[in-house]
Amino acid sequence: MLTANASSNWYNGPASYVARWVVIGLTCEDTVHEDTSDELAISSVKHFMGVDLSCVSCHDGANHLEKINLYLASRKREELWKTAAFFGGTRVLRRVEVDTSRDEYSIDDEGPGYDASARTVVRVPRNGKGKLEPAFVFNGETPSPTKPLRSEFARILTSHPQFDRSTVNMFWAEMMGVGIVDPPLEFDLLRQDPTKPPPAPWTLQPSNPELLDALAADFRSHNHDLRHLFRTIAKSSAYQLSSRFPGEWKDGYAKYFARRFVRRLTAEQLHDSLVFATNLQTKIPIRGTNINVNYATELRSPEDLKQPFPGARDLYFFLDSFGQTNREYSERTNEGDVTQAVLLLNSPFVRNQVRAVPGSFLHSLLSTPSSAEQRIDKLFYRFLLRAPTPEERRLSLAVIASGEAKAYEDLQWLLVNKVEFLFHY
Amino acid sequence: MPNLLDNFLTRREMFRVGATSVGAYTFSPLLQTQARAAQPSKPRNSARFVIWVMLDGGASHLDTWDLKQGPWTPPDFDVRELQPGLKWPMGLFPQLAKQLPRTALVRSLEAWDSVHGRAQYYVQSAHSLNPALHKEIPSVGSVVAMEWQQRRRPTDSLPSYVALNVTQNQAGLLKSGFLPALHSPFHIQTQTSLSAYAVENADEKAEFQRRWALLKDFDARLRNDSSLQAKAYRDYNDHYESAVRLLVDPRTAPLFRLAAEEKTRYGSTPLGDACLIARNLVEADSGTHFIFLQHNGWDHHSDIYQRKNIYKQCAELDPALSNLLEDLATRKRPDGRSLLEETLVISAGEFGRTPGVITAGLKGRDHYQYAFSGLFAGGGVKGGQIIGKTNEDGSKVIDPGWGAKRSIYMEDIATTIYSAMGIDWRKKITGTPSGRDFYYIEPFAAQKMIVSREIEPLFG
Repeated sequence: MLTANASSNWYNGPASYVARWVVIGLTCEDTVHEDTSDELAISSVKHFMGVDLSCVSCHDGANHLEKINLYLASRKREELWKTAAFFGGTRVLRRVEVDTSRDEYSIDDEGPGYDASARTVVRVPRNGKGKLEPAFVFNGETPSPTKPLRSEFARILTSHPQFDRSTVNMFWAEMMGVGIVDPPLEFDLLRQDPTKPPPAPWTLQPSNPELLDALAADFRSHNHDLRHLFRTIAKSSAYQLSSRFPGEWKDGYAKYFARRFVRRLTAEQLHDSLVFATNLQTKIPIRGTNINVNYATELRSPEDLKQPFPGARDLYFFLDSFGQTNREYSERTNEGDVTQAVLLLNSPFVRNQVRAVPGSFLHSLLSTPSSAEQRIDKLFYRFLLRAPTPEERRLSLAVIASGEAKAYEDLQWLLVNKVEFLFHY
Repeated sequence: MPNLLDNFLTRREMFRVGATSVGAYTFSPLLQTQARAAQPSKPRNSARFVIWVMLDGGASHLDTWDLKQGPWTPPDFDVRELQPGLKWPMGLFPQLAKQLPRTALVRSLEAWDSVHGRAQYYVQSAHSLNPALHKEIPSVGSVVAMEWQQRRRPTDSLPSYVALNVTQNQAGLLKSGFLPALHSPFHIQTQTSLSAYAVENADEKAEFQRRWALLKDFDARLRNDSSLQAKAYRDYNDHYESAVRLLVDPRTAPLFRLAAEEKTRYGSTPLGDACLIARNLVEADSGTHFIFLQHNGWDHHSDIYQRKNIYKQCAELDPALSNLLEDLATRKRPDGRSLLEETLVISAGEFGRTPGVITAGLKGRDHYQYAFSGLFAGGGVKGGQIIGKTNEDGSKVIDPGWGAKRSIYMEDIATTIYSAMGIDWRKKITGTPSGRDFYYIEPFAAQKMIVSREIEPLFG
């Protein structure tokens, strides 16, 4: 992704990583070179190293970040520029001759280098002097003069131990609901080493530094094998714990991951669970292809939902409301609000999903001779992956007492609106 | 270490202003905010509602509300000089021309940024986009919602802050930042099925009530399971309670019942429908006080004078905004006051567009931050006036038209909103997640030595 070139990112997917960080200035073809280099440096260090340099992209860390991040407080704006200089040779041009409204870019290595005095449209003015040579912010490492800049940048990133630590932490956070360092993209590199604790009142940042180190070392020794990492975490007893904690829970137990942490499904997971449970699918076309998909997690981009297809707007609004990111300006969020509750309770999307129409799971369930108890069990397994409790079975039997399809629709609506359908626990 | 679970799930709500808690949309404890200075401001308190019609992408000021004629001006703009100093594109805004006695045009606006994301962030938050803080900064609408929480009546069922047709195109919709989710905007998309927002007929009502009653039995155990300590569950309970209150409130369904005649009058567009719903929300007075609605498609980099561009935008805006103003002005409360008297209506984009001849290649106008215009009406605003003046080609403010003797920025507009809504804009909130004090209005706009103030001449 970091090294990709393309005459159009529409035809070479990996180049979209570079294209998406382009900064557009005053006109739609005005790609602002140094701003784009800054964004590429900030985003790649953030995503691959878990360190957010955006503050020092406008000013030195000193006198600004002492209360926020010890490491960043010691960094200078010029160090960010030198890191961005790894992208000084990267040229991103918008293909306005194709279409001014679509985000189509060419990416090559014909850029002019990084000028520390160049204009900026998104930051406080760049007050440096002239061209800068690349040097990596963490350790000052410079690229080999004979190799392409971006592949050198990729090499420097992946050979640094923070790459291991950040990656395992991100996977841990994704799977466990909370990172060993949390939030996972806000590492403070001066608060990591148990043998060199930070000055009071600061504390070590990882809740469990030994665990983070061990996972990172294991990840590196397995040649950065993500499957291995995934398997290691999934097989851990911590991952397999229940969210119920026997006995009295104390906040201090949290750092031992002594129970599973409850979290809400992401927008896409929620949509896909609804689609899977009911077996009622919306064919979503993938933009620029003739492929259709059923699940939101299969989308190439949230932009796919902006195309005209039946149900598109309702679907886009549903996912947007549950915190889907547009991958550009908005960040993913799992927080709740009233809009979400209204959509779950009463949106046409949810109301239609629970109907016993031909093709739905419910329709086939009702077409097959079966006892009410069996049907209830099947619906519980389908929606919640478990059998009903005796109390739930009793209540469910009352709901479907009439035996009518409408009563079963009520039951499906209840299963969707049960808080555990929305939460992973 | 704080409770990791709560921290992860609802980091925002870890923050407590005073003794508040996330609750249903009823009375909740007043948020304790501290006045920043020894001298609190003196809010005008002239409005109970705000409607922001956001011209997303940046409307060309010199083709609309600050018209500058030139060889580029198409003849069918039908420019007329309605009064000295007021050239008007009658071809674009025939209906809005009739509303001018009710509106104040402000032609001395300036933006701090000229890229969409940052400039739109400014419109919504009145703060500069700061990567370290943007997650916690609440939008102006959320601050208004928080401030109006204390004034909510037991019968109020709709959220204080409603956002209509706001998509994530650019800045997306800023939420409540570190404030409780209670003050987040409630989304309405007119291009989705509006039936989501209301339980319409008796059958639907019966079905909904039946299901809701069942859900309470069904889910009581888990929602109240203390061994899970799942604060997020409890928060969802609150969100559900609020949602049910607004869904079953008999005043809600009519808000979304758009009569064919009215739809047509407002233009039968997403913007028209949104303006109609905004009018209904003000008229219903059932809890909503800040309405932010977005009109997409003003980013005319190319072919600005083609039918599909500025003509289409204006043809959508003209009936929607004009009829909104007309209806608000002619509908009265029992005490004889019109809805417009208590509603501050603002319409502007995030910046203007490059003046002079259009670009040679793409035949459009690009982003321009140094001069643009906005329309203000209602909530105490004195109509029939023009504030500020630009130079001959609209590239520069030559007369700011107000006491501050400088251009008017988003902070000044937000100050005006707070003032009209009876909110002390000098307040700040301490103890934020970042540790930085949050000022409703930064003491110095964009970190320059500019002290923001209310746009006094608006109010005559």
